[in-house]
Amino acid sequence: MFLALRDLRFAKGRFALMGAVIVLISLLVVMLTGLTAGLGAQSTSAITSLPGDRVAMSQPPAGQSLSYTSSHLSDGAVAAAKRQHGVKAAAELQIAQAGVQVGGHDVAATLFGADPASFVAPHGLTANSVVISDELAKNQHLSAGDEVGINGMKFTVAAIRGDSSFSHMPVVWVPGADWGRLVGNGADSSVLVLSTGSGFNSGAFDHAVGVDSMATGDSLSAIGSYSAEHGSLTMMQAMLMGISALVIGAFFTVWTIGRTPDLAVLKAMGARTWYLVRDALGEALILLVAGGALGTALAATIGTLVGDSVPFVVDLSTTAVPLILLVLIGMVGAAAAIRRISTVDPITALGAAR
Amino acid sequence: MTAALTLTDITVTYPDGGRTLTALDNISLEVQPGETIAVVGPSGSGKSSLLAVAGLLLTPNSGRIEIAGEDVTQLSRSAASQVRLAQLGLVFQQSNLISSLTAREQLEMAARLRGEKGRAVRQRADELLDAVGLADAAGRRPHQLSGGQRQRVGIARALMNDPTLLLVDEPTSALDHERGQDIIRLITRVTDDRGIGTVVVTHDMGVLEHAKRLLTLEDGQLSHSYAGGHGG
Repeated sequence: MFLALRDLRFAKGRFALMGAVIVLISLLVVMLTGLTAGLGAQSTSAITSLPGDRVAMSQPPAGQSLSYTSSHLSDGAVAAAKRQHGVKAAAELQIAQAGVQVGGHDVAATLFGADPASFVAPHGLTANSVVISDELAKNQHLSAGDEVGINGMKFTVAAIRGDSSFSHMPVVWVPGADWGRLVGNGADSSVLVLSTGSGFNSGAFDHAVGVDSMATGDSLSAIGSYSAEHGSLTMMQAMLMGISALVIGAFFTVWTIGRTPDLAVLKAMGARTWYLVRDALGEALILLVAGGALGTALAATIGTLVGDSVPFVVDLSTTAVPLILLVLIGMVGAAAAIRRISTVDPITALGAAR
Repeated sequence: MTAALTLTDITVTYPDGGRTLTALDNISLEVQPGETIAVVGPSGSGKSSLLAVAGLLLTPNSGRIEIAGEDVTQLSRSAASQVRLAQLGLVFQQSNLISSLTAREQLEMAARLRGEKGRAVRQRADELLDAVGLADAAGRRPHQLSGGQRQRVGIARALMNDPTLLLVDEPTSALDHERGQDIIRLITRVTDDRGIGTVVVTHDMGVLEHAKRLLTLEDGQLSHSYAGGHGG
């Protein structure tokens, strides 16, 4: 990289401009990735943190897709599920949206109803009590022992467990016995949460119980607007990655064309094409890693600062992974541009050919 | 003594619209170590084609090229690059230095293409810059050098890998007469000192008094050849 390092030092202005573009693109990509993960967690964390490994929903009407909020288990579904081979535990999870009265005002929340004795219920859930999420407790200044109201009934906060949300609302766990009095007929939905072991056969289970079962992770697309939201944000990330490859490619195309006389001289002196390509790729790599790392660091700092007010996740999957992807895709763009080094004819270094 | 360069019955043709243009027509030429040969001729006479063939940048339609006694006529592109690195020094018109490199780095670059680097390379670069009178300009980039100085750096760069054959393309075209004569004197001096065979392609008739032989190319043919004023 003898030549690459000296080119970078010599053409500071041009490379600084390109570096600034990479900083901005990586800033955008990492911000968007952190936001996607944050928004995703707001939609799904209550499901991904459920015990068990599978979820089963009632089969949707023809032409409709599976949905947590339109699934209704038939009577006896839980008992039937428990009898199936390979099922270690099965419990019904009821879901409804409601206003929770805290200190005279309503807070929108998702109610999760479960039998306190079932494996799916959070520790501490008892009759006439609720278990609330960290987020709700923090935002409404609630602690264990405080009282909240739901549809006119009073409940004591028995415990605060985890940062769980469903469809962008904090989750309040209520005992299944109170469910009928809390939620009007038809305003709720229900799914099966399963813990399975060896011998579990998904097809046989679904046929016997009359449900569609899937791994918990695969069920996230059945959460309200999660798929559309996640799809839109992921598409924006992909487009930004594509733009970065095009921008890098365009820059190195212009840069390589500008260097053609130098490349012809070096080839005439005996430089092999691979030597020159390797040097130019090194130049691109330095630019991408330096610009990308700076943009990522900026995005992580901003994300950490706004993390309390904006759903934003800062971890390796939202910083290092997009950075690595950006560098790899940028290198593809650079490689496509630098490929033209192989077409430079050394004879053009001679006077009459110029 | 083995000739630095031997060209035997070299013919080069180019397609030119519907007809074929003959750039070099059955040319033969031998350059001995320590000998400077000047090739003069009008534009389009085939001078650059001659240089390109000798520099293994252009494969002739027919004929044979030998460098230091070795047949290098039909080498692959990669093998030709190896021969250029090991045996040839090229001095370009207007020097063609790399704008991001200092004078010393231009020379280091030539060595690095052969995989050589380190203190010994830097020392050799400094010695060569000193030999061409540019010891004080080692840290300057091309835009900080005069035309004559740039050409001197180009000559030093061509000598960096101890070539058998020096090929020089219009070395005085961008210089005034006095500086041009300095450059020609420098080329003939290093040719003598280092026992290199040198071919200088030029429009400049002032080269005549320094070259050992003068060849005139016209319409692709070596039409005239006689002893010049230098050495003998």
